[in-house]
Amino acid sequence: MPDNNRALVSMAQQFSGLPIKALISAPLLAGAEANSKMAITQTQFLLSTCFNVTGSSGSEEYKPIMINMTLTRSVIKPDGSAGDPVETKFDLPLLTIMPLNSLAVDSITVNFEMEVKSSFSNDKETSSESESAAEGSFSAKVGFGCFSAEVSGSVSSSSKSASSEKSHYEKSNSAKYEINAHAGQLPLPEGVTTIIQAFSQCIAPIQLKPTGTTPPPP
Amino acid sequence: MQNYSEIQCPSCSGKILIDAKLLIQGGNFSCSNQSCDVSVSLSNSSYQVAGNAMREFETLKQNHTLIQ
Ligand SMILES: [Zn+2]
Repeated sequence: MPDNNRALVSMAQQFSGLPIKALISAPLLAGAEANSKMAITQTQFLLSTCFNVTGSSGSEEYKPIMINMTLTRSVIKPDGSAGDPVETKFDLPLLTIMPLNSLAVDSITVNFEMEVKSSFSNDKETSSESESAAEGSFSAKVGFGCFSAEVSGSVSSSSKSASSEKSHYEKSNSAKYEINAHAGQLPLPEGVTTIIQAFSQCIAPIQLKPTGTTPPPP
Repeated sequence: MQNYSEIQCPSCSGKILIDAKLLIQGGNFSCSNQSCDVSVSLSNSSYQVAGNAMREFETLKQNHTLIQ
């Protein structure tokens, strides 16, 4: 008989020794670290590129660098025809046009797949065959007075037997462990968003006067 | 990945989405408000300062790709 009680690999045991925490958290931490580095670099970039620094060390004053924009508006004459577009200039902090929040680790996907398979099979085949043969002969002479007789004969026998046994036993188990961790990009910090909003909302169009004209009295 | 910045339309307070890369190449950006015919572009006097800032930003981005 096959040994059907033979134990398969314990699935729980296979997974228990895994450093799951490290496997998942390490890439996430690396992503967070990269993001943190980027945040610092972006702040440094923001202060050095988008601001003019005045004052001595410790009491620096940061003034946003402004860029000049041209606003174009089309004009429709009273008769309905298109007039020359009107151009207006306005200043905008350089900071507001920089796509700062586009620099971040956008997504981290940790795909960890572990498969444990265990199987066991038992094949047993037995067969037996036996053959036997026997052969014999005899002869006898008997006599009684003037009577005599002779008897002779022969005998043979054979036997054959065969038996076979075949058994197949199989058992298997498998387990799959899949982890999917995802970290998305966070929006800009509230403070930075507020500063940028405040800057962009303070855009006051400045209508340029033709050169040589005197402003009207107040 | 967001590559544009948003400013408020000086005329109607609607949204104007600006792609800084296109802006320094002379791009024109219209107000998202359908009834507002305003468009904005970079003035000639500011091409240099905006261009320099964008170049530095691109370098920063490049370094970031190396970090990853
Ligand atoms: Zn508008």
